[in-house]
Amino acid sequence: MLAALVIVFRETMEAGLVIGIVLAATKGIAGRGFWVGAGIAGGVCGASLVAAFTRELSHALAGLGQQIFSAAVLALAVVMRVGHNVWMSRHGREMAAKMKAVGADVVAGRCSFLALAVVVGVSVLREGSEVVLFLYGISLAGGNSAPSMLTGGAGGLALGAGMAALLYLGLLSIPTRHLFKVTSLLLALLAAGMAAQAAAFLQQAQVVNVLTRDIWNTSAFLSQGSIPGQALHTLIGYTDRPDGLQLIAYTATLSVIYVLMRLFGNPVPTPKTI
Amino acid sequence: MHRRFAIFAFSLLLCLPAAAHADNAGSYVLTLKDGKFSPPNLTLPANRKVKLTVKNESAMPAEFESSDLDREQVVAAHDSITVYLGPLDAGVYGYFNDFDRKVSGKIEVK
Repeated sequence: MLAALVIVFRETMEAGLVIGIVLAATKGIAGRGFWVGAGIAGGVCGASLVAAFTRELSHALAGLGQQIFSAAVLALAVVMRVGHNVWMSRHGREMAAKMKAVGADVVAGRCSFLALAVVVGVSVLREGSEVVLFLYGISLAGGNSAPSMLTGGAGGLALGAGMAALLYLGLLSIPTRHLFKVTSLLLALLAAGMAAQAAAFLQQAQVVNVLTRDIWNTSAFLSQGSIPGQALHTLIGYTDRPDGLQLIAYTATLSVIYVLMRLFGNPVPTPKTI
Repeated sequence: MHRRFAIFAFSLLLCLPAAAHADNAGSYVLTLKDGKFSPPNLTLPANRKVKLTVKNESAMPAEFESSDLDREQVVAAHDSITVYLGPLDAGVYGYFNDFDRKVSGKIEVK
C-alpha cells in the first residue's frame, strides 16, 4: 500500500505543483476555475487515452513514440507558457489594480487562459498517464493486494492535491502587488525546465545527438530521484546530470521569455483623462 | 535585437545533425519476469550505439528507469520497448522498475 502511495504521489506531485502555481497566477480573475478545471479534465481524458494506447505509442516511430510524443507535448507547453508570460507582463499590473473590481478583463485574457489551461492539461496528461496505467495494471492483476494498493494510490492522489494546495496558499501569502512578478518568474523557470526536458527526450530518441556529455553531476548532493529533487526538477528544472543541450534549451527559453517581455511587456502607461 | 535573435535561432538549427541511424547499432535484450530483470548484469560495449530491447513478460505494466542512463520508458504488460543508448563511457549503470523500485539491475559497459 505504501509503495502504491509513493508511486502515485511522485507522479501527481509534478502536476500538483504546476496547478498550484497557475491558480496563484490567476488569483482573483473571473473564470479561472473553469479554465483550470477544463485543463485538469482534458489532462485526465488525455492521460487515460495515452495509457490505453501505451503499446501503440511504444512501437510507433521505430520504438521512439514515447519520447517524441513527450518532447512534442512539452514543447507545446513551453510555447503556451511563454505566450502567457508575455501576456501577464503586459496585463499583470492592471489586473492587480483591478483586483477588487468584479473580475478583470476576461475577454482580453481568454487566449491567455486557454494557454494556461493547456499548460495544466499537459502536466496532468504526462504524469497522469503513468498513474492510470499503474492503477489499471493493479486492478487488472487483481489478487489480494489490489484493494490496499488502490487505497494507497488514492492516498497518493490526495497527497499530490495537498501539495498543490500548500504551494497555492504559500504563494497567496505574497502581497498582491508582488504576486504576479513571482508567478511570472515561476512560470518562466517552469517553462525553461520543460524545454530542457524536451531536449533530453529528443536526445533519448537520438533524434538529436549533440552535446550529450554531462556538464555536471550533483546526484550525490541532491538526487533527482529523491522527492525534494523531483519537486525542484518541476519547479525550476533542476537536473542532477544535465547535458550541454539541456543547458542550452534552458537558458535559451529564459532568454527568449526575457527578450519578449522587454519587447512586448511593460507598456508605457497611457495617460488617462481625469 | 530581432536580427540578433534570428541569427542565434538559426545557428542553433544548424547544430542539429540529421537523425541518427540505429541500423548499425548492436542489439541486446533485457527481460523482466517474475519480479527480476535478466540477465541481472548485462554487459554492453563502450563508445558505440546500442539498441536495447526491454521485454516485460509480467502481468503488470512496468517503467524502465535509470538516472545513470537518463532513461524513463513505460512498458505495457506482455510488451516490449526499444531503448536507444550510447555511445556510453565504460562503467556500471544502475536501472530499476519505477513501478516496483526494489526490482533493479545493473548494466556494465566496457
